[in-house]
Amino acid sequence: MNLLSDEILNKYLDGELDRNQSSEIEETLKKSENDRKRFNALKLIHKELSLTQEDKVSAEFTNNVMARLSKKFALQKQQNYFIISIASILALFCLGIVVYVVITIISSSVPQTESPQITETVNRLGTTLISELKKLFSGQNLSIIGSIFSLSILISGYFFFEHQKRGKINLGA
Amino acid sequence: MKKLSDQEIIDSVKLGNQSDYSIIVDRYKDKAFSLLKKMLKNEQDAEETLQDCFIKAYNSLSSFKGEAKFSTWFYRIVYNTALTKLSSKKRKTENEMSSVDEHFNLKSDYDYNVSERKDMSEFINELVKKLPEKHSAIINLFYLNEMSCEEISKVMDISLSNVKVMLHRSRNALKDIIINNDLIEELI
Repeated sequence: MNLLSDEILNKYLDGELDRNQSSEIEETLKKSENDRKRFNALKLIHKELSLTQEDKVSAEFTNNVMARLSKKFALQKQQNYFIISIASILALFCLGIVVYVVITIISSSVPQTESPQITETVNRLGTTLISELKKLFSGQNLSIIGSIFSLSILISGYFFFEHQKRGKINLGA
Repeated sequence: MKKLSDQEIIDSVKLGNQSDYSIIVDRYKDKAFSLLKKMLKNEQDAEETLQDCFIKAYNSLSSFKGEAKFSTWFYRIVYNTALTKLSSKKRKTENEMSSVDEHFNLKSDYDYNVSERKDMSEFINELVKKLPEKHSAIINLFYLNEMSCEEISKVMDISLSNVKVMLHRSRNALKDIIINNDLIEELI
């Protein structure tokens, strides 16, 4: 018959009992052969598990992990370059529009104190540029530019996601 | 030469010294591999999953603030990745309580043959492999990684009392086999 439960034996083994409880357990273990046998089995398992050796991964493991990480960095770099180039094109496009707006404003409010010759030159240049830009951004042209702009965003987006997808497949390989 | 702490290595990696991460990989690969091998019960799966774990840990390094020990944080990634891998293999996934209440019977699928036994350690390790994944993970973290029950509860995201219940239950299952097969005299 078992006088001590498995739980108590485990707690005693882990040193979770106070001194009085431990003394009681020790007394019981002296008297009960069955409990002693059970405790010895637990102690043996505890000892053997404490001596367990770790398993070894393959020799190339660390290199493989670092190679995968390097691939990931190369891919990130490529993606960054791609994003930067697309962003630059869009920025140039926006800059063109801003310049157009600025010229329009300047040409419509040239200060009266300027010498007539400079004012006339600026006005002439401004008027020509504005009329050209107006032509470019008016009516049907505006829709064409808008379409080109949208198409370039769509194409960039497509290539970007394809690039990412390929990168993920490469990383997984 | 002074051994760098995990935190010092991680700080260095965060500063851009990517190659320093190999020190972390070398430091944890074997112990984490042992844990995965016991949980997944397949060497190749364990090694592949471990690679994924190191990549995952690297990607999440920015979220590691050093509040917990790196080992606890890393083993949590390893443990959760193993569970995901197991569930993707359509194995049974249990919640915390079901795993604590889980009844397993090693005796039924255990066939002991004294003549085939090579050594005691190997023999007990064979038995540990037959434990359910979460129980063998606890045994591994407690004995091989020398983690406290508190640390294991953080890794496995279960309560401290459940860790103890599962640890005791695993040891009792092993103990019963030894007693029922009268191996105590032979093994001592």
